[in-house]
Amino acid sequence: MSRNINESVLTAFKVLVAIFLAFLFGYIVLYIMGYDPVVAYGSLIKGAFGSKRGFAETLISTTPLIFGSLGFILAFQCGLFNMGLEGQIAIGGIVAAYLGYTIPGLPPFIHITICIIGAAAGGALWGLGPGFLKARFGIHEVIGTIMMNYIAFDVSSYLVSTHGPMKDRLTDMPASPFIHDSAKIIRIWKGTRLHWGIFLAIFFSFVVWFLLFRTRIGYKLRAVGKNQFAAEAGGINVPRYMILAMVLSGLFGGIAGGVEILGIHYRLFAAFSPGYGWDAIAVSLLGLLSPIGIIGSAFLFGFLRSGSILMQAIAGVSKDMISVITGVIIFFMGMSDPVGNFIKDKLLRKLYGNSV
Amino acid sequence: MREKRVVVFFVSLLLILASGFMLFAGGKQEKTTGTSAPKEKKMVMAMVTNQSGLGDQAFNDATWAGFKLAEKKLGITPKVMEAREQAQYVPYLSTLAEQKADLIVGVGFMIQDAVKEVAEMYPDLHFGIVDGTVKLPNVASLHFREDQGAFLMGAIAAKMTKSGIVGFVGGMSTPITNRFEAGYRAGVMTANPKVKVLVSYAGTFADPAKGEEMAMAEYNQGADIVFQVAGQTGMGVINAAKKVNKWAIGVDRDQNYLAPDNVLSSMVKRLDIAVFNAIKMVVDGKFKGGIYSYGLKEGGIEIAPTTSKHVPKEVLDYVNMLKDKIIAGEITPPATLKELESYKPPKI
Repeated sequence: MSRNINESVLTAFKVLVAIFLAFLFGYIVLYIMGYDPVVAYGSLIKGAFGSKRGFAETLISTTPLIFGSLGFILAFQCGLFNMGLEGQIAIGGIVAAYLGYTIPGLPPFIHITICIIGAAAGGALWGLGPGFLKARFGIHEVIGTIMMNYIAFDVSSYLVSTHGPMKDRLTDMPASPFIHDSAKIIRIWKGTRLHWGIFLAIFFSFVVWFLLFRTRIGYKLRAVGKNQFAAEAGGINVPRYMILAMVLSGLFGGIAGGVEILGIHYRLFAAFSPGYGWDAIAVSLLGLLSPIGIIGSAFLFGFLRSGSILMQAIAGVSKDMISVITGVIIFFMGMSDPVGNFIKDKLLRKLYGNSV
Repeated sequence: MREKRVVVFFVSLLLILASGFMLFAGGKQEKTTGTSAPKEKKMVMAMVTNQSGLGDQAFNDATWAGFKLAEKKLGITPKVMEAREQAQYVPYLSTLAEQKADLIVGVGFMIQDAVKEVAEMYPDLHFGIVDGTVKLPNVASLHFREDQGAFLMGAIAAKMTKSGIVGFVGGMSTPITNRFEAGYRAGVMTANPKVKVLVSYAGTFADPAKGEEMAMAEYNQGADIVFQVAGQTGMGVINAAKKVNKWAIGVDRDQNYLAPDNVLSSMVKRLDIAVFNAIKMVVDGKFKGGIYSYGLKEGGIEIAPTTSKHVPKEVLDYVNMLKDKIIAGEITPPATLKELESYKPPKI
């Protein structure tokens, strides 16, 4: 038991080192590029935490990242790579917006629930397709999900284009009508856009953790992920669990999109998600594929996203710089094992002798 | 026990690194604040681009030119934020508002909702919107009569075509690009009713490859002049013109320099003038919200000066004659596709 604790402390430490090294690297790059790194990082932090609105925006970006990452983890624990989260988010948003403005006169709680269930179902459907193709015909899920992305993107931009069926006729904007007030997720912090979704996201993190690690379904799902042949020999219906994993994965993608529409935008427009589905992959890996760990890494990415705006405004640093830093974090994460072992072997041996 | 030591070692290492980093950072900060203190505070004006971003050789660059001009002439500090994603418009604008920028200009029709939302939240600040309308007392909406300029481009194209077919490539199909299309087709109809117009929309303002594809399709169908109204996507149209050595017509700025032998003319939108005027209002303390319309008459729409390079004098004279008639109100180009349906070319 004590060994387990130490190991998790060590892994957590590795993550922190990776983050730290990435920021150090970013510091050097900023310096070389002729920016003042102190001003840049200062405004990054100030932008994300320095004001009520900035902090709220951090949490707002964190919310869909948590949902998306939960989706990614569920597929990944089953050995599947869901590259289709961005598309599933788009579908979730479409369904949520549609249910949000077509159904009138419901009490808020019921209306929001219906919209979120609809969004989840839409996302699940979008995951079912590639999951089925993978399980039944062995078509690689990366190809399947990426193709489904293109369909989702083009469907959503068609729906709100000039002659599209969901286009709001009252305005020139290529967007759907606004959802009814009863479908809007209540904002919890006056003067900001922060809404209940963040608590829902954290709640679902624990639900997914429980599902994966404390239920038979989760056990079987992970068994397929560890070794599908061994799982099959052990009597697990592998195709069924593959499909289930993709459906659950898409379901959370759909919820991410639905909550984003119901909580922030209140209407559908094309590409309403600024790449949350792609960031979710990095968030999941940084969160060590743990449904609890991703709460932290999603917060980090939310911080970078919201802070980068002020960084651009004050220090003039393009927000592409943030993409560089996140890329480097992932890179150092991958490097952390060999680097960690190197430190352990060379440095600690010298300090403590061969007994380490 | 040993493992515990490993952990302690790592944690202390991290702490040392972190504190060193902080000291380094803290030491430097003092220096920078010390040097920048005595300067007089300048007015800060900022723009938020649409998804094309700076470097689109058109819309955003032209607006930015207005800011740069104001920096030189009025001594303001210009700032630009490139919003590549529509979902980020509100946080971008409100970040600037929180920084108390003296004027915040949103570029492009798509940012309209976001400007409205933020301008309502910050009623004491001044906002501008290019190509959109926000009916609030603290927002100046800058409009352009693209229909008038596109009308003249249509006339040039109709007079210059040898194949009898001309083309149009739009970015997304929005009311603004539709206004271009309506004016262009009316211009063609007026100058030569026999000329056929091919119209296509790329569905994006940010994809040059798609623009090239669209333009190639129109050239292959026999068009020899294509008018692009497509932001970054339009760069592909000009590339296509270069490849097949046919004509393209540019937009927003004089784009002849992009392909000197293949850009016939450009419809210039003087965003810089419009934005400069808005900035000047703030500097002079005379800011007023409302709609500011810039057409041929106000000098907000122009035919590119390089047009005379490739277009013979008699055509230019004809086009200038049309221009005078529009200014005098004798010709009213259609501003929407609906108006185009009932448009009848005047006898000239």
